[in-house]
Amino acid sequence: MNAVEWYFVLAALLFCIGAYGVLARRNLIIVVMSLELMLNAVNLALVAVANFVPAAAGRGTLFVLFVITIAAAEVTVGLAIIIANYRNRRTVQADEYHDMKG
Amino acid sequence: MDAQAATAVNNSIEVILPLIVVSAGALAVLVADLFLGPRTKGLLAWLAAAVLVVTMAVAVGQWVTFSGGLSFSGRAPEAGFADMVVMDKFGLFFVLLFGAAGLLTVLLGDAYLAARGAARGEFYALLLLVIAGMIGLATATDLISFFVAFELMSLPTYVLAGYARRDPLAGEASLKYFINGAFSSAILLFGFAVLYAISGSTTFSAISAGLEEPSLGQGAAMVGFVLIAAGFGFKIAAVPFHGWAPDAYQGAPTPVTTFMSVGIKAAAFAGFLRLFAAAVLPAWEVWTPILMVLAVVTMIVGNVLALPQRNIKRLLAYSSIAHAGYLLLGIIALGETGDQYGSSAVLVYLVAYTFMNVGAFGMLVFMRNSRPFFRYTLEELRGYGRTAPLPALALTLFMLSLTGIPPTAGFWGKFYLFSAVVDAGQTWLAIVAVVMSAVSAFYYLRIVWYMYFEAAPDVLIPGESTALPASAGAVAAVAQGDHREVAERPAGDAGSSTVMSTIAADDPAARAEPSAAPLHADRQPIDAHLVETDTGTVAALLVAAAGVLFIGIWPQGLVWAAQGAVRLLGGG
Repeated sequence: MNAVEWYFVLAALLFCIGAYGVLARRNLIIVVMSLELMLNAVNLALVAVANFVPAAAGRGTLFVLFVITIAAAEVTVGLAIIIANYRNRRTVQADEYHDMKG
Repeated sequence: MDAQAATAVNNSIEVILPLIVVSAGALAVLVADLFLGPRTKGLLAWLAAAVLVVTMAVAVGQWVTFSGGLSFSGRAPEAGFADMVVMDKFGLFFVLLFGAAGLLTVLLGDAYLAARGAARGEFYALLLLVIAGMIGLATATDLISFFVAFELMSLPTYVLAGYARRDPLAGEASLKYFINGAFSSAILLFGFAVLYAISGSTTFSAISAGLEEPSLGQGAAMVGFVLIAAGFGFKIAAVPFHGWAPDAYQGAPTPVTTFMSVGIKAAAFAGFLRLFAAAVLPAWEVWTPILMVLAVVTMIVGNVLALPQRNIKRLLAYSSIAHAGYLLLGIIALGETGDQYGSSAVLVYLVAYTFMNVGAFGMLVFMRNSRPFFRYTLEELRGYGRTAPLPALALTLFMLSLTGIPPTAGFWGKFYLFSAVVDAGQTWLAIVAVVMSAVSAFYYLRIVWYMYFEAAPDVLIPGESTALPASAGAVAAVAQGDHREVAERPAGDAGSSTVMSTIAADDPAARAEPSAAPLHADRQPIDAHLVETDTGTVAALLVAAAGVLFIGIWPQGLVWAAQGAVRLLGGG
């Protein structure tokens, strides 16, 4: 395997840890942290491609800057939604939110 | 700055002119909100509507003066910002569609928000920001601008879904939508990273060229496209990524649900249609089977799960999942044939779907505004055909259109989609789609059945029977332009239970919510006096009904426009 592939394996591992956190953890704050981990795993993959694939130089690092900004906006909105919900129900446990089913 | 660079900047500005108008409008609404008092907040709706009208006018002007004759997969003279965005007829077509969907939502939203005494400034600002993101998505020709627009569209929608923030259901809807949406964005982004690694570029035209000689193997491409399809599937609520949709649709305020079901879906299809047509068409053998699986599963599961629903909002949520399945057929046809017939069928369907779904959800807004205890259940529709003949007729029209019965817009939408997929040699997919359309007739027409053939309950049940004369009163009020006057008049012609119910409606005790769910603001009776007039909702319904009938009777104009829009999209 060449360098890019090793970085992609690492990124995929981090991504899966994040995905596991989103799917399995109940605390909403930790869910948001796991979402951030997923985005950062992608950032790692993007920089690796930009660095090691000669034809692909440039755009990947640019992409990462945008992803970092968007991740910040996303976590802002997410925490605001969690706080609004906390005021209604006094809990940040995901499994307490089950009013709608079917 | 030399002259050449200045021209390039001017071109770039012109490319994103509709986007600039909408974004500036969103900020203008926010600022105007600060200076308007409680009595003049209604002006904000007019301001938002004016912004959308200007945007659409700009788009019409650009369409008329459109000079392009080159392939628009990124290298046209109209491409701006280092090939990041392009404003071609495809983009302009969607600017007009998003503008129309936004205008209808403003019309629906105003009376709904006023009745709850909700703040209106942020609502319109967020709505305009979502539309800005949608326009960006339809015009993006680079993975970077695509992702930025995708998030600009998604983030305000999470907030809008929870707009009634004291309502726990709306909060739950917003939360589920956010977590699922952010999760899917990350998956999509990883797919983009893989695509970038394979093709060596993020620009659509360069991806297309790079995929002819991919740097990684077929397996990597498969992984990448599965991830992209998953992100796409989440956004359009395709099975098995649909889990959030019924909850988010049910819990969100109904005008927001309307917009989510038509606007977001149309924008996601616009963005991904361009991605599939202009960037990844060379790899069609890899992604078409993935979309086929998605389409079949979505059509079957969406329609079957809609069958047992008793809550109309939830039923329409499953129906909109099913419609996403039909729409995927157009992209499959594009992949199989490489020509743009399938793409134009998707555009036709999205326009038809916008009108009929705005109509269906708009009817829910209308009933909710006119009946203080309306809970969106099928049972409450009993006798609606007798107490409110015109609204019942409108709802019937929208249900027929959603089923796909001529002469409505829904029929032509399905006709072009299914014939596109037959032309692509995938007749079995068309057969599945037709069979599932027949299944969908069962739950759509059941709504009609309840309105006309189930007798209205004549026992006075708190929370249900008061609603019937109220709706009759509201219909009369719309006709006469003054709600309060009619509400106070003992209308003796609206059915036998009228007098008793009018008394009940005036009795404060009868207004009290049954103790089951006291916290749920969206379920609490609204103050009917705050619904000054329901003119906006009625106007939106009239436009939707006119659109459904117009396209149903004369689809050719729309088909021409759609074919013009996709001609230069890329591919064959």
